[in-house]
Amino acid sequence: METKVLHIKENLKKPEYFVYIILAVMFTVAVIASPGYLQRAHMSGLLKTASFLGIAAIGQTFAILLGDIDLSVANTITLGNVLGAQILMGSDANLGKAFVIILLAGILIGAGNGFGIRYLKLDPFIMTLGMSSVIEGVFMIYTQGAPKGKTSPFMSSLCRSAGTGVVTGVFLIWIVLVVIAIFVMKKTTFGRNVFAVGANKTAARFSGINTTKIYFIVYIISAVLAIFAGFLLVGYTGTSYLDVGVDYNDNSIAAVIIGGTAVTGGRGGYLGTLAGVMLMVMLVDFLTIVNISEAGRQMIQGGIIIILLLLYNRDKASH
Amino acid sequence: MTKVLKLMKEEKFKYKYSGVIMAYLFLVLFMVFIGMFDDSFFTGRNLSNVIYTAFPLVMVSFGQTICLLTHGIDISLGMILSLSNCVCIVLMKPDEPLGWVTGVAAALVTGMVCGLINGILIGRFRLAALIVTLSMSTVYGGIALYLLPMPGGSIHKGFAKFLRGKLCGIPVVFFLLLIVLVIVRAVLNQTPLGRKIRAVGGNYAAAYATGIDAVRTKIIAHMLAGLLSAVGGVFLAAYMYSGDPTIGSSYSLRAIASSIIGGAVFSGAVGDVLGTLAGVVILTLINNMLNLLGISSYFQFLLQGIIIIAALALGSLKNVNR
Amino acid sequence: MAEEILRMSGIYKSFGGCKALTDVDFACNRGEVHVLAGENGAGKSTILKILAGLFEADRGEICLKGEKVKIRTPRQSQDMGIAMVFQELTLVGEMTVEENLFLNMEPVRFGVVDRKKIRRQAETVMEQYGITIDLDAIVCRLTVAQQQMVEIIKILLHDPELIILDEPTSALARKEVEKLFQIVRNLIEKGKTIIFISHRLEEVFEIGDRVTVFKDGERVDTKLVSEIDTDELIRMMVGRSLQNIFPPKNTQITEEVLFEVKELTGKALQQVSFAVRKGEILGIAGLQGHGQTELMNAISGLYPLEKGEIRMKGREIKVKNAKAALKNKIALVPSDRKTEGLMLGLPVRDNLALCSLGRRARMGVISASKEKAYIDHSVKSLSIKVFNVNNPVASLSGGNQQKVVLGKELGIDPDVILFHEPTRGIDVEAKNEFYNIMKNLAKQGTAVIMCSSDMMEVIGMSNRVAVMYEGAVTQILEGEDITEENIMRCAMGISV
Repeated sequence: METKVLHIKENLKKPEYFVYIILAVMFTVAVIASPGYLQRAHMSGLLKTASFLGIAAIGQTFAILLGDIDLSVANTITLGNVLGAQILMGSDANLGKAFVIILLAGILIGAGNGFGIRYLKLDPFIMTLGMSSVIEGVFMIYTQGAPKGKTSPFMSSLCRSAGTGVVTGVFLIWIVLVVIAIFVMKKTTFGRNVFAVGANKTAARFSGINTTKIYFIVYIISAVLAIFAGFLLVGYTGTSYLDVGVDYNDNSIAAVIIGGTAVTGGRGGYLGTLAGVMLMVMLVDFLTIVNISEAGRQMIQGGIIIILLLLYNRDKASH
Repeated sequence: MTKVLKLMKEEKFKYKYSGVIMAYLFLVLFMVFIGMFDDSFFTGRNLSNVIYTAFPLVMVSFGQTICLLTHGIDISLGMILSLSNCVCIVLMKPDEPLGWVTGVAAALVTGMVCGLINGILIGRFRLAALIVTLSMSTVYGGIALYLLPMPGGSIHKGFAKFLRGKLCGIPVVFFLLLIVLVIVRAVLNQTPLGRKIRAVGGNYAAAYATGIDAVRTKIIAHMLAGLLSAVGGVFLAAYMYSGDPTIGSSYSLRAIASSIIGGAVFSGAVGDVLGTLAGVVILTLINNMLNLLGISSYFQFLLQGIIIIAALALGSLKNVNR
Repeated sequence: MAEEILRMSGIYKSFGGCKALTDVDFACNRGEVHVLAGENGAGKSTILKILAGLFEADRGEICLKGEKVKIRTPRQSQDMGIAMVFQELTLVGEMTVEENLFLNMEPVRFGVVDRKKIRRQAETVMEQYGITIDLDAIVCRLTVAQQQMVEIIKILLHDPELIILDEPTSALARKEVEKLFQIVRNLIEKGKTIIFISHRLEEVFEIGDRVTVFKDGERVDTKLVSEIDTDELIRMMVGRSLQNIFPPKNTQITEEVLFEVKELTGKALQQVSFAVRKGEILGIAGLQGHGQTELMNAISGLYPLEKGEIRMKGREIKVKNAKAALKNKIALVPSDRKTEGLMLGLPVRDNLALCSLGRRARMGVISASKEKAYIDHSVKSLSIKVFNVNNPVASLSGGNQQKVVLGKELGIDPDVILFHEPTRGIDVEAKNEFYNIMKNLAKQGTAVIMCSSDMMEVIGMSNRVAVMYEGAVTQILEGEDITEENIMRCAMGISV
């Protein structure tokens, strides 16, 4: 077992590319094994689910590139979902209002995380976990435990595929964000600075990078994207649920790690995460098809992260 | 008295116990404050209630303090509590005279095995403690859900009666708590193992150079933490008369907060379970106070989050200034 | 003839193709203080670490008391009666002295640590060798000198025969050094043998019986201390005259002041003032921990100043953080390239480009062509040996890594460049290249400030030397006055 693990690891020189081979293999197997896999409705659904996770995973990729993590993603998504539905109340007239409030809430959460990490000197893990319970308190008070409201026609239309294609509005939004995210990571000074801070915070500071600013921007990006993922989910779920975001912490982290971004920071990127997102969505889809229980799903999802950590980062990671 | 004063002036004493003393000072002031506000606070009934609510958190927090001492952390302790809680209920034979033995023993072993797995992943494979225990937390939660899909089951009546019973008007668990406190404190402060744990946490390279098996030390620390969390899980099974696969979810974060309030630090080697105990009581009393004041449970969610962040921030800032 | 306690013969060791020791013979007699001298990276520490079991020699054999032995782990070395006090201390700062002393060898009584026995044993050893220290003190609250004592007591508990001290005096003040030497003498009296690494020449004569000089991974010679003088020792260490490693100093220095600091005051700095003239290199010297690091960092915006002004070509500038310093064209090559200089895991390209990213970007978007031109230019002008600029910088040799740090800083076209320990841990050839680069920068009109703990380097490179003591510049030496003795005197607070 030991030698086998090492052997596989040797071949994973570039996990962010290798993951596409896994994806291709899994896709082929799935297509062969289940006849209806390529059907329009199924593919459209798959890509739609991937979009929500994919949008949330952009922020998570940034956070993990910094060598941190954002554990407030899940509850931020729920907050976006709850706020969205309750403000929209089924009418497109409220779209503008919902958009502004949700954007502000996202910025507030991200800035809060940044503040806690940089000025209160809290470990990012702890800070975002604490923020998570604050957000939970907020949406519990807001909904009094029973979320109300519902989607508007426009939000629903974003989740319906146009004509006979598999492409939905949310999918298009995701693709646009993918292009922007990859561009920002690879081609801009901000992207380079994120990698630099993630690789070596002290050296980054010595090189004149304003690390505090980088932290704030990254966590604001993460929170804003997560809260909008939750908002978009309103169109998908129709109404809002208090546990709509629950799985997104584990799944977004798993997608990023599958995609080859190192948990120690400074290595990886969204290209890998993209494949990671598709793999996670296919896996969840598969588990639903074979009708596995919630218990089994949790075990598999948690286990996958551990196995991947063992494969990718065995000698690199340390707390 | 002069001896005590002299001791308090000593540098070693100040360094080791400043956090603990602060925690107790705060605790006493806080209790006086609540006592003035509410007459029902210092009633035996309320105080026993506080002990019952605090007990499982004390166990998990002691475990967390041990992990923090090694410069580690274990986010999965809450879910280890859930899992051992379910194991205990599932294997319990409520109708046999000694039917509680298998359940309790299996639960404790479960806790240790979970700790062992965490310890191996963190110590041997050198994975980041936070992310590993976060993921393992999902796995343990899944297993708990598999064993007991819905809250329920039943407990051995005699066993529950014992744990909920009183001795001279004081809850039995209070004595249990004191025993655990004495043992854990002795292990951490008086034995070679305790010194190794702190050495590994304080300066890994130095500990290694001294020939300490750092991997083994970390594994043992996580096993102890798992075992203590399992004790909490067993108690909750008896206290609630049933099992619940999600009962532990909020414990991990609160345990970290209690440890930090009690003077432990994230950077390892510093901390004392005596302080952690004060930390737990403070957090429990805040809850107790919010209940007595009749604040809605939704607001309590929010306040708890803010209080925990504030407490942890105080801890971190104090550590930075050190 | 004294009894030979240790003989190492034909020791060869390389680290990934880089030769550290080539067929070195080394012997040591019982009851002597044997000093190892040589430049940084000459191989002194390496051979002793082999003896202590931290490294394993590729070839060669070790004889202890006439018997051939194999040493693979620190434990084996310890069991044979060898003990080493490291440069980096191996204590746990959060624990007490007593806890540290007996770490992992605590005597146990009824399952509990027997503290009475610990105290007895520790006190016996302290009494025996005339060391006093509070056993209950928290280690991180002690001074470096006291921590060193703890480390020494710790090894003495094992009652070793051969004690290795690796640059024990580098962080000590004069008084503390004397105390340490007294303990060394006590140890010799008790029949121990001591191997002592030092980079301070006067210490060789003060404490040593014999001295062995290392250079470039080879043993130059072993001499009785009583038979040589300072000049001969320097000749042995350097192996060639100073002119050959260091380029000739620039003589065309104008009176034009490029850069000036006035009364810089901070927590560890006291009214530091100096000026750098066009064409010169200003050296900063002093014993470790007398404010040099803080001074370098303060000028680069990394250390908060309480008072003082920084003037560039007569104009006052404010550097409230590193970014502002870079904007004002002040660059720093920090002392530790691994933690402060480089992102080891990132490509050479990303590292080189980092400080000056904004210069090749429009609205935050980096121009690929401009960047390529810049990288090519840097690699070529600094002759960085790199196969592909997309490889991680960690894959380069120490010298090339250091050039990347420099290249990164040169990207901003600095008017002032600070070098902090510029040649630490790089080989002689790379040092030479570095010195030439520094000199050329000075010649081209950049103000060059070099802070180094390597005395030879300071003497060989600087036109003037500012010596620091307790956070203040005690004296600025010039021309003929730049001698090792003068620098040492100033560094100890004695005026010349």
